[in-house]
Amino acid sequence: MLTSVAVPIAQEHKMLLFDPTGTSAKFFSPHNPYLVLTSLPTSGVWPTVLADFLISHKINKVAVIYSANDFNQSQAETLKSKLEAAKIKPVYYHAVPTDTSNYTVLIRTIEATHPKALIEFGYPTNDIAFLQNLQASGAKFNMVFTIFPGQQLALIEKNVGTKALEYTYTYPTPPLLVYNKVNYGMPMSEFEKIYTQTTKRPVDFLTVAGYNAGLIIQKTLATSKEFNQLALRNAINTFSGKLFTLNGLFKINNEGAQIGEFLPVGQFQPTKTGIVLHVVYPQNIATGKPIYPAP
Amino acid sequence: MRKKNIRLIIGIILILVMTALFALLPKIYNNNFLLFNIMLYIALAEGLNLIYGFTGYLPFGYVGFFGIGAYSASLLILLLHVGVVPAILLGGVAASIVGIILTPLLRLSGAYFAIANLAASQAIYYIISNPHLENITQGPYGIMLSSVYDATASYNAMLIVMFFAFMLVLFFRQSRFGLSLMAIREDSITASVAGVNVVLARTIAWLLSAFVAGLCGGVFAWYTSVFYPETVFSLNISIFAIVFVLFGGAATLIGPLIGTVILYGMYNFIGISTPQYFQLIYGLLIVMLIMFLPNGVVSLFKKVKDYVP
Amino acid sequence: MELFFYALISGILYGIFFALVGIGLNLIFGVMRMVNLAHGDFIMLGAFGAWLAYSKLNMNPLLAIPIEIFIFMIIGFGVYYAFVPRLSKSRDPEMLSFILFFGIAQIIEALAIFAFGNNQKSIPFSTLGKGSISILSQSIPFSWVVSAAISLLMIGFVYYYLYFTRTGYATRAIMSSPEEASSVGIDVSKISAFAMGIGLSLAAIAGVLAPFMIGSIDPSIGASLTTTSFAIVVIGSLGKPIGTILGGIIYGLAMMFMQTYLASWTNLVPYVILILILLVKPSGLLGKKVRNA
Repeated sequence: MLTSVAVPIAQEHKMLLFDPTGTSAKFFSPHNPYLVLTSLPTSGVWPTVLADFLISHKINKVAVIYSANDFNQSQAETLKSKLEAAKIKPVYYHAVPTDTSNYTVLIRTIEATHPKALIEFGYPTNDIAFLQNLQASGAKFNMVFTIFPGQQLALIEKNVGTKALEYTYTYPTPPLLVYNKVNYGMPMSEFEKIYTQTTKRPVDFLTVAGYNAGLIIQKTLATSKEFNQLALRNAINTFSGKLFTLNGLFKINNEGAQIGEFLPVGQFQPTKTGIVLHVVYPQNIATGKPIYPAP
Repeated sequence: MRKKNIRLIIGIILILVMTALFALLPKIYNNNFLLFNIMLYIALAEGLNLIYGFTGYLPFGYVGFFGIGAYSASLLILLLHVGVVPAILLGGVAASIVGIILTPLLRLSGAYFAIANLAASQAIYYIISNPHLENITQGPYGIMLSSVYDATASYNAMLIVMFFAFMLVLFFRQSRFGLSLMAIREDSITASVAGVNVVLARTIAWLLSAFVAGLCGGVFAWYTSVFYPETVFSLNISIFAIVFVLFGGAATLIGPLIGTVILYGMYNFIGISTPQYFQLIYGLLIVMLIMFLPNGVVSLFKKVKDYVP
Repeated sequence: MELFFYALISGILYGIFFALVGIGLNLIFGVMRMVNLAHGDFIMLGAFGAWLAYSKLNMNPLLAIPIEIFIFMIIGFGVYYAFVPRLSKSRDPEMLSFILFFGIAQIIEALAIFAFGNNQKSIPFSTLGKGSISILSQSIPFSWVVSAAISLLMIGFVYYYLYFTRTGYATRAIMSSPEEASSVGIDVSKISAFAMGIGLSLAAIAGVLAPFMIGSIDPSIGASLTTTSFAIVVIGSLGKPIGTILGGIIYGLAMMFMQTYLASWTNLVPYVILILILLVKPSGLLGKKVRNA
């Protein structure tokens, strides 16, 4: 939301804007060289791997419920068009208002369509309400996917309990997705140690994104030969695609959007002490096998 | 000279000074965004003053007109390729048309009107942002107007809208029309017996008030160039305008101006990073005002009140 | 058809809870002719009370109810004596109280953010009992049934108080005419203060149940709860607390059927109902009069 105000200001004043996580495709345009997104790809491409996962596992009855806002709708539409390209038509595909806090009846309605996977795209508030209601409703689905457990696990887990997350799927992001092979800044293991020592707080994705934004800015200043805004932007182009940080590959396109990262599919699987996240797709970085259908 | 004429001259001078000030400030102060927002809220507060100050109807959903203006102007530009300036004017007209649709609400009194108006603005918001209307309003995706982006021109447009809002309020303040509105506010039955067309007068004030908010919305859309439904239908816009008017003093030209400059200034210092401090302060301010100063800061100048524009 | 019954049953349960959400607002309006625009924020405070009881004191959140009744009675008396007598003497008490309570709402929300932060808080539904119950062969979450039952009980108390006690009788006398009530020797301000206390307590009790019916809570939920309450009260009948049950159930059913059949338009429901009722049945709403039941 802040980004939507900041983008025209930056453009007007010809100042380069580094944005940690503003993922709406609308922010970016070829006319505006004054914007660089440091983490996360634009939201429309997030479900790419998820769609492949569903298709490759022949999960052909998919229910999608999403909150009616730019961030969630762009994901829902991408997922839908990818599935339809593979001849899979969602059995349920509906938007709900973003401030929906009670999903009980909705879950019931979805259950009646007998999907093999239920994908909910929402903001953290929605994901919390959804997962809570899902658990209370007693409804069973072979696969349930939500966005924010992969980014703000501590918040979601505190609100819905560990049990409600068992066997659910998400997009894992750092620190759930560990990048220790870096060529700039601290690797994840080291950052996690130092951050928790200093602040006594757990690392979540937003922490990583903040640190990553700092790294990119530092690298930009170190690389640029001149201190003017367009020289800074050109400096970024010289290392874009070559920089590996704890957030993965940093690569921007000509509009300044981050395209180096991708969001795999992960599943929370129960262990004796709680839950652990396994990356289950794509295969080349998988750390475990999906348990499908969920018991 | 008669008090009323002196008041008129002071009012005109005030308007000219403020307009000149905002025209020149960008040359020495480079935070255009802040200047723009102050002008925007002055215009909105003065627009709300037209209906609240002069008729006593408190439009809690004033933001609905602002949002309609922003969306109508933007969609005219994007879908029908109307020029920016006519699109903004038509945005104001669209807000007035919605005002006409909502005129039955004026039959309600006091709190009922306020809440019904709030409900109406929320209903408009949920309709515009609904994904089923994506082909027309772009639903929750919001609007991108960067093709017509022009920081200087849109700043100047805001300046003109502010000037227009000032002139309307001054007209209300000085004219028989304004007086008859105030008579209705005090006692509508007596006023109608005295030959005032109560319904017509109220409706005119209501539509002009909506028109100003619609213009503000259109200019805001042009200046911001990227916005979402929740940006232009944010209840905070109504709340800010109401609080600024209450604080300064309704039914005067200078009251909403004082309210906006002081409170928005304060908001800018403490409110943007920690909005809850500002929320606490204006909450306390409202309570104190209602209890001890129900007519706003302007009512402190009792001795010269006939000269206050 | 199965979905229809599910929406029907859950709509009724949801609606009974929302009757409790609205009833305090209606009581205060009926007695004082003042719109408590901070109503939703008192509900929010009640909800945080339950959350504190559960997460900090390891209590069953329902045990917070008696404590909150006590606390909110005191707050109610405080609010009444601090503001109402002075406002009643002013030019336009209804409008000024409306704005005043709006200010109070802002203060409460800001203080709640200081105290609890901006993040969502929730209480596991299982604290009200695990699993689900079968009603008309539809399995309904147990926590819903418990919440609706408690709501019904509280509304029953209000009914009993208004119609079967002496103070209740006096309260109803003030509702129909404060002047006449005072002329027959009823202490209007004492009874009104008591009504304010009851009104806020009812809001707080609705708050205790809110984490189970509405979902996770945060300091900003007050504003929309106030509008929703207003809609429910207006549907039922302003100034007639018992009519609120009808309003609540109509609201609950409308919400649940919309969610089932036209999900993305659900949010329009309370606002459209509110405007329609205000416009189509304006009989008593014109001027300062209150609608008759």
